[in-house]
Amino acid sequence: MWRKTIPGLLLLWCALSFALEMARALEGWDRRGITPRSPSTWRFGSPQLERLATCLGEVRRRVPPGRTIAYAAPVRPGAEKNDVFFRALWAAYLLPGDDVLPIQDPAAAQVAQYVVDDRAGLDLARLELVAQLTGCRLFRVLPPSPAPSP
Amino acid sequence: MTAPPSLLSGLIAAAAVLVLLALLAVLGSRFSGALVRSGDGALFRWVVYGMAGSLVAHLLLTGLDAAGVPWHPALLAGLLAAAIALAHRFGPERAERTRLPSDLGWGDGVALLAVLVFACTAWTLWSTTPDFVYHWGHKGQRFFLHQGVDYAWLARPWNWVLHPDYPNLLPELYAVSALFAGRFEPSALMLWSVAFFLQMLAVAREVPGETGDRRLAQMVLATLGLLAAFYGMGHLLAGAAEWMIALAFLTAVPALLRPPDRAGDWQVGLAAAFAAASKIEGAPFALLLAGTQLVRRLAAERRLDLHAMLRLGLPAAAVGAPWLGRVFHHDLFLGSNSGTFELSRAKIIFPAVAEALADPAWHGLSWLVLLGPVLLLVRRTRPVGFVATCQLLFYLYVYFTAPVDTRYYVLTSFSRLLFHLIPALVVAAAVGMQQKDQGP
Repeated sequence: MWRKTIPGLLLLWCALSFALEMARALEGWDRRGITPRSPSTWRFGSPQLERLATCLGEVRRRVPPGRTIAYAAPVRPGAEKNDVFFRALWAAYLLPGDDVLPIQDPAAAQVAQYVVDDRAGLDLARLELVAQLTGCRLFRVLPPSPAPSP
Repeated sequence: MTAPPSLLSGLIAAAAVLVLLALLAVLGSRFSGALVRSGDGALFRWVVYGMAGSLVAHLLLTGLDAAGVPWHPALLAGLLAAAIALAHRFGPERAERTRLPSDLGWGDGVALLAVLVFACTAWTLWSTTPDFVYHWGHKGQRFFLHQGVDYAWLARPWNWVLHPDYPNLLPELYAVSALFAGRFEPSALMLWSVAFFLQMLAVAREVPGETGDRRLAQMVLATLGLLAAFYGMGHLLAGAAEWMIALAFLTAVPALLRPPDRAGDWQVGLAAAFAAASKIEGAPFALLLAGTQLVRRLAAERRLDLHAMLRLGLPAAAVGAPWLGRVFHHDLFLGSNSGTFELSRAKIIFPAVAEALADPAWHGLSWLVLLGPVLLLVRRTRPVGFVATCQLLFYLYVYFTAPVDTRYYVLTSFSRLLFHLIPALVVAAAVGMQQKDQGP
């Protein structure tokens, strides 16, 4: 008896779960434009992501492919620990032809040729402003100035 | 790049995925004489063919990479056509044709509805896994632009986050689809997940059906369709490689449930290779699958059959050896993969595992993974239960050794890893229950 009942109950449970997940997906999709999300939970269609995509789309048009780009985002008070980390991952995905690394990466100072400042307010000596873009700034990294001779 | 595509662009990209899928299946079908037996149903056969074709294509792409030849779409199409022609001319004698199933039932309808709903959420990218951005899709996009696996890029120190040491079959499928389409279109690439889902159902339709209980077979099919769809939507699994490991395990299930035979060896061998080419945890899974079937052969025949060993080990070795060679050559292996076994982590791991088992996306069904040890009790399902239990223990072992934030690691991976095992366990459990009904 139970060998017939258990599969039936499992099927019923799966059907209910499926209906619930479908409803959640539809609701989430309908509210995608107004639901604030931290970068670790961004999905395609999240409004914050669209802002980043617009900025990086303009970067793509201005930077020749194959360059190394450091990405800088502000560490916001109260934000998740990995907020900047996940923003940088999205930036790397949106600039697939380039090498993108977070500006916090130890290698960034040595290898970056450009810097995208996503409202981090960077003010560094070796950065030359290339363009003010939609929601971000693009900098070229200048070579380090030679050390003064003794 | 972040929004669903226009209709025309989407259709072209979707057509490219479908053409590639068809080419791979046709390529695999040229080896039908070796890969299937007369009792295998048509849908299951095409799953095996698709798997074989994917592996041949993977080896071709690996060869092109090794030779430094860029993956030009015309070259790829030509090579696939040539491989089909060569396999047709020199491959094993073809298996006898079999009819497509004409006995569609209510379970087929429910399962297809579930696939359709999942496909819609996948196409809109709403159920796309974050790992598509952090890992699979990012690699696929880079390989598409680079026209090959960009090992120099993978080896950059800051790209550790991309899991540079993972096998590349899924990003390759994405890249080649995009090369055929002329653009990288994430929505269309989600069709790969839908295709793997459909293939899982094709296998699930076959297995309990063999036992002759049509009602149970339809019930299992509907259950698996709904389960994979709700977990795929709830946990965001579109675009992930988890489907491939789940499919590999399911594809091996029919062979593991019957006495060892030649076609079964190939099927298990191919499933093992497919898993090994899909994810890093697929490598130990491949060893487990092939090893289990080999031990069954030994137990049945009381001798070591070298041909069986080749059938079981050759596909995974052909995939695994170049992968390992590349990983070590480019120094891609991450130190975070392994470390010292620390029993003291148990107090972190088990609470985190309990938390992961309670993942709302499973709706309480994550506990189905415990069917693994239960299936050990039934003689026919013992091999499936053994593979699932050992793989589960392997996942736990990794948590005891990987030198990373253990709690975070468990919480971000364990629920997803269960998806590798649960579909095969559900199908095997249905067979096991019927076995009990009919007596030993």
